[in-house]
Amino acid sequence: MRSNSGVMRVFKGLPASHGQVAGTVYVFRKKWREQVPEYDISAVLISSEIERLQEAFTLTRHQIHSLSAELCKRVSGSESATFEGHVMILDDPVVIDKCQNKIKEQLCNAEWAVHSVVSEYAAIFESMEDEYLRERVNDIYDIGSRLIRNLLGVSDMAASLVTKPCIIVAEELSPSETISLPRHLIMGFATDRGSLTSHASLISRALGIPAVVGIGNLSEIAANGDYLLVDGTSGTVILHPDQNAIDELNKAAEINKTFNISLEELKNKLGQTKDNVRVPLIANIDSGTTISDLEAVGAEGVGLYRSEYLWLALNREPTEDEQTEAYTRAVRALEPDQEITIRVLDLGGDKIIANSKKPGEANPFLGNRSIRYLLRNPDVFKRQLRAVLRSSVHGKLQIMYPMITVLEELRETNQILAECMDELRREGRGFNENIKQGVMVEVPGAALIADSLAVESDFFSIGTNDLIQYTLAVDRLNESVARLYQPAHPAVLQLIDMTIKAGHAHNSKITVCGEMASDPVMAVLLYGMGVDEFSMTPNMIPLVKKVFSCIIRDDALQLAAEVRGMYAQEASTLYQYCKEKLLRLVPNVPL
Amino acid sequence: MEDLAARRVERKVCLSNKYGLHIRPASLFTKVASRYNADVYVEKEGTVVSGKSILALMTLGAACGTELLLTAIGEQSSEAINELAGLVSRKFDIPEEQD
Repeated sequence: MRSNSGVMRVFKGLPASHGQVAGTVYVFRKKWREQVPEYDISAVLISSEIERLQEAFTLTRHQIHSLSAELCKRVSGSESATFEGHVMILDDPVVIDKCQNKIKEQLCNAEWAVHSVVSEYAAIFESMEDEYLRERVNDIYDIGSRLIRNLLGVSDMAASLVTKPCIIVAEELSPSETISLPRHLIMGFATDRGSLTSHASLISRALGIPAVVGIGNLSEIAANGDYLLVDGTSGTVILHPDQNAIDELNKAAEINKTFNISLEELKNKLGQTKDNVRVPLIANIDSGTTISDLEAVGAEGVGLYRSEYLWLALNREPTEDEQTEAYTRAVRALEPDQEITIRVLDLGGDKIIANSKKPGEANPFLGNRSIRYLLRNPDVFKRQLRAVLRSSVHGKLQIMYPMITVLEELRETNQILAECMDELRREGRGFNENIKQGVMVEVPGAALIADSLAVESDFFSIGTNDLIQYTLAVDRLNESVARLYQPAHPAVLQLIDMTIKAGHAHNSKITVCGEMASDPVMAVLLYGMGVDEFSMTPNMIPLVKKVFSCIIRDDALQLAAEVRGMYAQEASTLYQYCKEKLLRLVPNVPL
Repeated sequence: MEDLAARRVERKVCLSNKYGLHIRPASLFTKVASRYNADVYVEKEGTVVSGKSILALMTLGAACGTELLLTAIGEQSSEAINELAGLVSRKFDIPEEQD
């Protein structure tokens, strides 16, 4: 069964989907481009050839529909939307017209017509500058190969030829190939090409199948029946492994398994350190997040409710009643002792409201956004504050102001809040008189005046994503400068440190709600600096909770003290230092 | 002619979603464009394609940051442009494309 006669070879690729697996290879070769038959047809056959073409389109449409339905059942994400796009391409009149014209004008068979049209489009995609868009050529090949297979009357090769458990090795896998493979027989994927964002990578992650992509030329070297190790966590693939390599892999798999089990066990426990100091781990959510999503990860409250999604979903300003209903629903969904922080409208910059007809700004990230927009549109602001206040009778709800940069903004905001309270009192509507209001610290200027902001607010929430972008003047989506986006930059760490000290001096609670909260390395450092609670995307909560449960508070305090003495170093040195330290404390954590 | 020109609406937009005009954003754009009684065109650096053809949109190879000129001609041209420009500015409402 197991052919392991060759020399051991180690390949490095991209870790596309976590997990380790060992098994026999099945090489899945994509040969349709070479195998497409080409022949002339006589003019009298044109109409029957076109009919054949149309039937193939119909059949293909049906197949993609059922694949899409299948994917919906298996994964909750939006990956199935890709297939909707495939159906739309099939429905695009331009595509079928082009194929029909080829048949009519060149008197060629339908397979060749599809092949020519697909090749024309593929050439356009392959010449694109943007790598991500260039890679989308696979969507075109995927549809083309399916059409040609249907014309030839050949069934799904991949699906029908895989009959026993194996690791699929291929040059590249299309989304429909990935999903049409029999799930219960596929142990792992290893492909020559592909990136972490290709559809096949996303799908293998969604299905929980270990995968390594971008390996180079494995599919030319490996043969059916060869023994192969795939480590989707480290991105390593080993062909003809020796016993030592197999043992190593099994060890890694065992660690992964126990780690995942221990995450599950922590689900219903509160976040705390090994020496039982509480570290609340709460969630960043929008109006679409369900309470079961929060329960599934053991979130202990909501540190950031992004109210702008109400605007985006309706494509207009929600009314006061609509907002009240939404915030009330959110607060009621939580346990009575759990807190929820509603962040007021954080739009502008990149998320301009379609209806507001604002003239374009030369520099939206430095422009009229967020609290600045609200203070210039007090009617909008009041409607939102009234809605938040009205919802506050239903549970522990607090308000957060984003983008505060100057003290006047906080004062004006509090003034408007007081006016709203007066109005509600006069109207006889109930609200929590002691509602807490806090400042989202995400501009360096706010961090530097944190002391005066703390006097007039109840809590701070540090929005690290924007704080980093504004401190380092870096748009992290701009590839040419993205490497300068450094969470561990000493300037960023010092601003955070300063904010914490100022806040604590006035008994303000400090939350971190940016992505730094969900990176265990940074979270432990920030905890050592004094952060009280961490709010993050729900699916990262189990990992961070696990890490905190493995360290004692003094470990974190000591790390923070050491890092404070290293501010003359590069960010990467600081980060590496924290990471190594954490790995010594929690050896099995997959970082 | 005059009548037609009156019903021609143009709007420059900047593609700001993370991954550019690939299959999913293109499919959403096509869907919206097709709902309106107007011809919709999308231009990128001199190349003009139909805004109702998903594949044509994809062939533009428009990455994040690309300037596009949207043109609609017909009875519902302004409604079409308003909704399409909104869709583009909201990064097609696709969560993965937002940050």
